[in-house]
Amino acid sequence: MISIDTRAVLFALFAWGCAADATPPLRVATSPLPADRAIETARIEAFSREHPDLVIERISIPRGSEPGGDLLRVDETTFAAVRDRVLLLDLTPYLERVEINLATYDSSVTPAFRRGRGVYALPRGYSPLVLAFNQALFDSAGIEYPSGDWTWDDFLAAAAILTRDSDGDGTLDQWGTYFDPRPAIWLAWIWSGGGDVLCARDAPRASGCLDSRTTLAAVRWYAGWVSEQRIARPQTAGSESEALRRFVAGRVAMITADHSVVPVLRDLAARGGFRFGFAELPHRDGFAPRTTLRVSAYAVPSATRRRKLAVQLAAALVDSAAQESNASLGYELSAAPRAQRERAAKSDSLGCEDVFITALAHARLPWGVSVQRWPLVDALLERMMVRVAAGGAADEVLRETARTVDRVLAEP
Amino acid sequence: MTRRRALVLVSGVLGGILTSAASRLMSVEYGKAFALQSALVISDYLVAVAPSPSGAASGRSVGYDVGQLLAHARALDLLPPWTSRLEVYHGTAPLVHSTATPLTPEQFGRIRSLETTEWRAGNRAVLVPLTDRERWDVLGAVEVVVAAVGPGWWLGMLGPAFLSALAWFAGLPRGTGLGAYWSAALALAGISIWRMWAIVAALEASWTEAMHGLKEGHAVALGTIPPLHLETTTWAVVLLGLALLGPLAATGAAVLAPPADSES
Repeated sequence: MISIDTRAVLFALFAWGCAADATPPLRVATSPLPADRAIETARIEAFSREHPDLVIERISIPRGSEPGGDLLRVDETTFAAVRDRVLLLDLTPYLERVEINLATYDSSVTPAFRRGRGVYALPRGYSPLVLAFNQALFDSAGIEYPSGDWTWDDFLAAAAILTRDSDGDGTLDQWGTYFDPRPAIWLAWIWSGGGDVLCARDAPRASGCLDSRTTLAAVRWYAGWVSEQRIARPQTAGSESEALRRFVAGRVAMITADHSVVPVLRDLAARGGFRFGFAELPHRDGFAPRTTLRVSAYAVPSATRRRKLAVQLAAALVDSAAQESNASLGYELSAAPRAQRERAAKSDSLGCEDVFITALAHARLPWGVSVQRWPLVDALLERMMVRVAAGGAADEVLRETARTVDRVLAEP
Repeated sequence: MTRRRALVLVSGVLGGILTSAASRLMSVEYGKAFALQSALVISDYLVAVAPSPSGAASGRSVGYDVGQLLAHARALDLLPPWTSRLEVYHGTAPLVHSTATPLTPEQFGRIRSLETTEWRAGNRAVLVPLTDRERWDVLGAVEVVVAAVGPGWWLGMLGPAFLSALAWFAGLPRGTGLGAYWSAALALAGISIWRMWAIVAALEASWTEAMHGLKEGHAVALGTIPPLHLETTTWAVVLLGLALLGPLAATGAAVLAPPADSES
């Protein structure tokens, strides 16, 4: 569809009489996260050197807006929704041409982007959610560091001790943990308590899962961090960067984190002696440990007119050189296990990689990989958690949310 | 001549010229948009319908049966919206008009490596890549020459002259002729906007006719072809704003001018 929009008209008015139109850039729609910028910049520069006449432009796409561009960065929360709105190219016929062998990539990631025999995105990296803890705060409180077999009770007991008024002014200024109402963070905790928000991957629904007794108990427990145990500062919005800021400032003792915090913590450890550790997420007594897996990948819209360049660039962002650089930057685990192992053997002086690798065994891909309406469901679930944490009747809120989610999922 | 009157005259002349220029630019942009969309659809059409040479191995990029490609390309050139304005290149060689200038190796190399559209002949023709059937390698190009859309010379000449003349009278003391000036400017804006809608309607009719011609016998291979959509609101606002530039300045000058300000 041709659209001469306002900018085009204004541009045309000013550029009338100028020389022929410049070659449009190849547009990579990606996230503004520093991790993505760091990982992509080096590979895009290398690709540009091989294609000197080509201009590559990174554009940020706000969540929920229409994804545009010749190449799209997708992740575990957006893939199904993007695939629903943008017809994605099946990359299978081109893999050999761009020398990508998916057999060399981690088998826990590649299925996320397969549909039938088709491959709709090339995986770059992944990370399970784990628990990061501030060793200095644990030491000063005389508590043992978290371990992989911690239960929820162990976590609560430690967090209660770590929540304190450190300067004696009558207000709590050090919290045991950080409460984040976004499902991207708490879903892993619900899973580790045996609950879930949706049932049946093929025809997902919330009723019977979200309002089940086990999920209700898990949601009550998580929301109870602020409403009952008071081990986390109450808040209605969460942010991973804020959690990390408060964590490194010594204001929060434990946060739910993925691998992207590793480079920041590693730098702080090298510069100022900041001491930290990782452990698998604690699980509810009687239930197996569980966590969610975050994944990043690149997809090409079928409609792009620059298919070859887009597929080649996608390959350049995930190929062996990219995996090596990804593993060395440390924002996520490389999707190629070999690169990750080699890097970990070389540089994991802090011993944190083992925790992430062990957690992988308990990690599962979240619903956003397969449920097209996940962004809407995600918003409903976030609102639900805020209401429960604010003291709403959890059983009623969950039942009502389950019904709304079912309606959203049933809409044609 | 007072400064006020000079200002009114200049704004009148400027408004008239800019309205005419914007109107002309609008026609050119619509023509370019139509040519570009045509070239893209034709390229998709040829990818969908032109067969590979018999016996070609599957799974790897293969070229077209040049005879078949030529037949399809020439058939397209018979469709009214593109008659004598279409060229299909296989590599650098033109297929539709044997007398057409071949692409230079540099031009073809650029299209091939950047997979992008290219305007040439002073923005009077657009060149889009023609890929293989797997849409991987660029094997040639489709060129569509921009058609002149809508008559415009009379508007281009008369509009500014008319407004300039009225601006002269509007600049007289006490704003003599201001009403006539506003009416003329509104008429100019109306004519410009009407002309824009007429152009859009003509292009959309051509598009529908062309797509009907393409789809005959190839509907399945082509799938859904997007409708031609040309944005008109912004242009209408631009044309109206420019046409009213003169009268706005004249009115402003008449309102703000001190009573003592009179013709010298």
